[in-house]
Amino acid sequence: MPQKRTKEKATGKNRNGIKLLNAPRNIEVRVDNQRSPTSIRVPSSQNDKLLLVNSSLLVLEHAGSNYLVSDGRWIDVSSVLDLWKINDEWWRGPEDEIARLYYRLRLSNGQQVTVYLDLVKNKWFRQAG
Amino acid sequence: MVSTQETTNIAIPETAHASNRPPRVSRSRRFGKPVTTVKTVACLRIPNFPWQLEVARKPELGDQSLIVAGKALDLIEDQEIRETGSDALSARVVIAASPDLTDVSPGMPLVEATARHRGVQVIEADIPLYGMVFDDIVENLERLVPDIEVATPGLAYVGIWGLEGLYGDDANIVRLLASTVDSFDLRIGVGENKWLAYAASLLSRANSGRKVTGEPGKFLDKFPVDALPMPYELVKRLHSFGLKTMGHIADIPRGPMEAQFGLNGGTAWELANGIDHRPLIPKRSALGVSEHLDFPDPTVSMATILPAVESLLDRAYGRPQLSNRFARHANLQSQVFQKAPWTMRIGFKDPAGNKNKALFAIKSKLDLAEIPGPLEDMRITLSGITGEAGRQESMWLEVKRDDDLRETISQLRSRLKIAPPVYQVRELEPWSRIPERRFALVQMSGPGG
Repeated sequence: MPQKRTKEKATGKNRNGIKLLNAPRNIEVRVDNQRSPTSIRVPSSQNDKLLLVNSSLLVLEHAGSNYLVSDGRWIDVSSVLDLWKINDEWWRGPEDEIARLYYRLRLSNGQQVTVYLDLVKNKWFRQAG
Repeated sequence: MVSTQETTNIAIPETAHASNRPPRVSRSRRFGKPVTTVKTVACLRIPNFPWQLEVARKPELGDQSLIVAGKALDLIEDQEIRETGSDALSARVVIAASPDLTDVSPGMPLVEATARHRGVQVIEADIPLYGMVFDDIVENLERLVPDIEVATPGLAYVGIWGLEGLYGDDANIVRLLASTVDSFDLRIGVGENKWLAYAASLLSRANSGRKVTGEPGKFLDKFPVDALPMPYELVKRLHSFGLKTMGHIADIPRGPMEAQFGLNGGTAWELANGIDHRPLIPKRSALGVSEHLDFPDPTVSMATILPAVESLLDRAYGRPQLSNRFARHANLQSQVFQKAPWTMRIGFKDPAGNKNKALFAIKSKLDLAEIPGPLEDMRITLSGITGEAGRQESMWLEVKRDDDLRETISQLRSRLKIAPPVYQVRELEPWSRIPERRFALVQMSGPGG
């Protein structure tokens, strides 16, 4: 059952036909030494795997999202428009609490996106809505 | 008009006069109610109609002991069937039996009948066919008399009051009615109500009539309770209480009968006393267009069935009855190879005015239908024929819009065979700081159903 829940959480859809609107999508984000995003990339295919992780590159799990089309190329971040942090459900314990660092970014192609770093899992997501 | 004896070959059985019991009178007479005009009813009964029809279809069956079995036609029996499961052997009943099986009566559970007669041949009732053939008979009768109630295939009641000026006395009317039915053994009974007419028909000879006159109590006295149009179980219980004839029931006050047998006990008591308040409900003539074809070989393949349906629809819509008109329902009937006949009724969402519209709806339903076996033939009947394809507008447009959407989703589901991916945005926790928790998409049709 926990596995199923995890899967539902990941896909944002459960068997009752309820689908979360604006569910976060995994993306890949490069950061600078300040840990501020410098470029992002949408995984090109649902079969992408974790590639590599080092101090300047965070490669995240795919989620099959193609809303932000980058054709597998990295898109540079022009500027950080906003930055905020959400802490919630801390009473559920360190594994389940919600701690997110949100960035509102302007990309080099002119598009604005909101991404966040999940501080619990240390993973990047794109947040719609 | 009321005499105590027969008309042409209409007679009261000798047994009715043999009784020493004082004559019973109908309730209206007993309580001194004013006697209103008697509305004479004729009962047209083709005994063992399903068996007669099966033998006409396959003459070789005429020499065999045969039971025609199926689901009970009676409403009460139907209820029991639903409770026990429609496919269970115990839920099947005898619809008709060959005359040599004297102890097998319609309504008897098939299990009981086959236990009494091991090895007897059992065939599945072809109810649609019986209905169609009897409808043809009734159609002929309707040319003579307007008020005809079809009780069940093989049994009809005809209102014959007020026809004296047209056809003469009851004997003439009976003769006329009998002349419309050939190739079947027809029995006609005439009485003051449906039950008496039915009872009289049980005593009439082949292709003749019998009329009940005088006091019904005398006539019914020696009648076996098996003749009652009651559930088989009740008749069995009556026997177990030693109530073998109508006279036995009539001797008991109504109260104890109802206390022991419930509402049906009261009805049995009334019938035993010749009382029947059931009105004659004339059949409404509904215009329908029917077309039929035989498959070259029995088939379950949709690749064969669908073109057949299309061809039948083409022919049906080519008929003048459907010219510039619309059909509301379609009924598919087929003989199934070595199985019970199969029927399917399709109600069109909007009246279908052409072949393509009707075919679309039928195809959608056929795609989901489970065909029980290879189909030997197909008959399509378009009914509910109307001259208008109007759609009523609603005062509450939002409700109507929702209904339309739901209808469209249902239609999509039947076409796609999956729950169509149509979602509605619903608020979950609009106040939440976590964006994905604020709204959700809820599948409008539900994933499975």
